[in-house]
Amino acid sequence: MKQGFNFLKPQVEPPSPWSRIYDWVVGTARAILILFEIAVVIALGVRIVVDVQSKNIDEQITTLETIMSQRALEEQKYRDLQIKTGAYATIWTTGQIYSELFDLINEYIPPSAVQFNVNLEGDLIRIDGKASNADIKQMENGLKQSNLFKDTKLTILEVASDDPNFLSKFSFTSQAQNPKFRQLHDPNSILESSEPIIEESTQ
Amino acid sequence: MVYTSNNRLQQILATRKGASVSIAGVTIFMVVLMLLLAILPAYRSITDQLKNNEAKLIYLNDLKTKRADMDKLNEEYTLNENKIKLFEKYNNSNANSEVMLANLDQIAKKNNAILVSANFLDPEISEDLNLTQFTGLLYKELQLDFRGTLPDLSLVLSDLEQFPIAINVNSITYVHYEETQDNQYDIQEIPISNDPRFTMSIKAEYYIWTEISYE
Repeated sequence: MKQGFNFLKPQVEPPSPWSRIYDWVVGTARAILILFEIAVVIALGVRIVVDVQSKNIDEQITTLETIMSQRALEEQKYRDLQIKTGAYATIWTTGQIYSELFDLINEYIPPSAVQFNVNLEGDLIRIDGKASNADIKQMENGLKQSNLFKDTKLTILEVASDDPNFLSKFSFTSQAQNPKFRQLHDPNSILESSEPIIEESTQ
Repeated sequence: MVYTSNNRLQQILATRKGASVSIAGVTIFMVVLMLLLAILPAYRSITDQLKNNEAKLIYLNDLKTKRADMDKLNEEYTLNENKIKLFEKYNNSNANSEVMLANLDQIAKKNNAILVSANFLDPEISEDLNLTQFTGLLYKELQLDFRGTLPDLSLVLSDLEQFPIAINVNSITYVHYEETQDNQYDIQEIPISNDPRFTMSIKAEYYIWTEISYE
């Protein structure tokens, strides 16, 4: 059979594996490029949104800063007051209450006591004087049995006689068990002050 | 026919294999270029701006909180203005020993005791660890002497402890005394039951503020 060429028909290269690969590469390349371009556009959009947010926040910050700078004196006034009230509260609550201790010790003072003196400093107590041996003994028992004192020690400095009615020189040292301190009151309660403060004269 | 390099290149690119490889190569190149020049910088700038915005938001919220707190403080200040004015009147830089002396004398008189003497020492910076945080706070030491009976002195002590200008008592010494001819006192030789008078010495301190910080 005769095989010839028909020159009226276009000569087409016979299909090869590379044709398919070529078609796939072209399609895939197009898709990849389109995707990346979309990603770039989206990134631009997101950046615009974020920048607008930043601008809004900046505006709000500027407004508030302006307001706060105008209230700077007011702020300083409150800060000063807070510091002063904080200091007052600290001073008040670190102040020891001696009046209770004072009353308690005085309950034990023997009526026969002479040259009697008491010193209170912090939680330390010192009581010196002269009293009858019986009264000293009673005082010693009272102080030692009280649960408000601890480490009570008696020193007899001069013994006049063993007679319970003769006066001997003594010295007591003791410690307050739980020294008390001032408390802050509820600010909503109404306090009755014991004495109004005498104010400065304005004349 | 003479084959130049361009012709040769054209021939290669004309084939399916050559075209596939060249398209793939150009695509990869474009992708890398877009990644390096567009996408990664955009990502970095967006994440940086987001972090920036977050920090600004925190600051903005702090400002809003501060404003709300200032408004609240203003309200409380207005409600308690009289008390605050009274407080500031007696917690300032003015030591005013005369006013203090007058009040101490009044406390003694009210409780049937006598204020014999009052010494006000110079203001000093407190070494109390609880108070060192308060810059500008000074303390003034007081040395007070009262005379009276024990119940009266107990009331004096109680009033001093509750006095609105905080007086912190550091030590108390009380002695059963007798008056000597030159108006001094000496320790008493007769029993307490015969003469109930005591003299009470108090070392205390109260506080003032320096002018520089708070006036």
